[in-house]
Amino acid sequence: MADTETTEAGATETETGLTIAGTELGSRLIMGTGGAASLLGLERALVASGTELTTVALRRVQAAGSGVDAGIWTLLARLGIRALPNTAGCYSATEAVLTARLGREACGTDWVKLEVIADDLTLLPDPVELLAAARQLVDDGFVVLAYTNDDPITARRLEDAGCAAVMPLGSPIGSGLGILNPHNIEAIAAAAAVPVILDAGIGTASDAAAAMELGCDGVLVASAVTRAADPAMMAAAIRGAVEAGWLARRAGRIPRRDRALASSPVGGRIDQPSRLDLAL
Amino acid sequence: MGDDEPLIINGQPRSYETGLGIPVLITELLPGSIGSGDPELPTGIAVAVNGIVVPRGQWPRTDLHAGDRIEIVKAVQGG
Repeated sequence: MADTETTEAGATETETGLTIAGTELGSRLIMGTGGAASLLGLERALVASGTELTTVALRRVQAAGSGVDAGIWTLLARLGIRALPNTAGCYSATEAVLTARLGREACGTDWVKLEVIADDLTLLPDPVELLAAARQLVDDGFVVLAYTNDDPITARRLEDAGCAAVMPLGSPIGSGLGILNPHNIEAIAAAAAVPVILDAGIGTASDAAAAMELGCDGVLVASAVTRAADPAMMAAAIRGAVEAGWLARRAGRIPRRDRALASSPVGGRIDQPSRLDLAL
Repeated sequence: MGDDEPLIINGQPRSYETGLGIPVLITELLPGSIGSGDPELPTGIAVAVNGIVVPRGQWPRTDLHAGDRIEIVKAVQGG
């Protein structure tokens, strides 16, 4: 959202916090938990990231006797990190709405990261089903954070439907290709009155900084951290990048110029008659 | 539908028995998950019967019927 905007909930942005539906989070970095090789490595990465909001998926409990997976749920509770259930793996609004309702019951929150993907190959959002699911969930009282394509019009439709945040992708999930269409991300961020969180495609810290410099209010990262050679170190790097990008955005970058502009005084120079004058 | 029709639990058939309830099914799939911890706190587990989520407090008094489709899910790493 624009830097000086006030959210629909009436909460004004603070220096560092990210406010979603009137709730302030101390960190602008949201973490995903998929792809982690070990729970211990994930814990170190989550701590290093400083995140206060972290996604979980909902999956069928499988074989009898598989035991209680005391994994991610217990870990988040112990770390005091708010769980954000997602609807990953849903292909239709119907599936996504039921999954969101299961997530609300399982995690005790009406927040949901809404994902409705079109197919397994691209993992790209299906905007038609996504919008239908968003409308149903908003009607049902959910705080919907909608994972969407980098299309400004879809983002506007989602905001109009009452989503609490829009989460455009930088590039396909898990691709690490960074932000493929920075102009669209900038346009989404400039137009939205709700928080814009860059989701999917982050490969390394500079991508996260770029997202913030483009005007995003936050970044969601999963694979870039969980599949890094050193997840905790990458989490720390991306944490710093999000903060750096946020500061840089607010600081106001210099305009790009076609030609050099001297930063030292141009007057009072000693004579250097032999210098090349390329008469640019 | 007759009483010989199985329940479908997470996509798998399970023979229906009169009086079978959600707590029994949860205990079968997730031993030790019921009765431990603060009953007011979420557990990362949720149940839906025929597409409708059943809040945990209603598990003991929710009647199951032959042919019911039951989803039992938990929070896992993802996203």
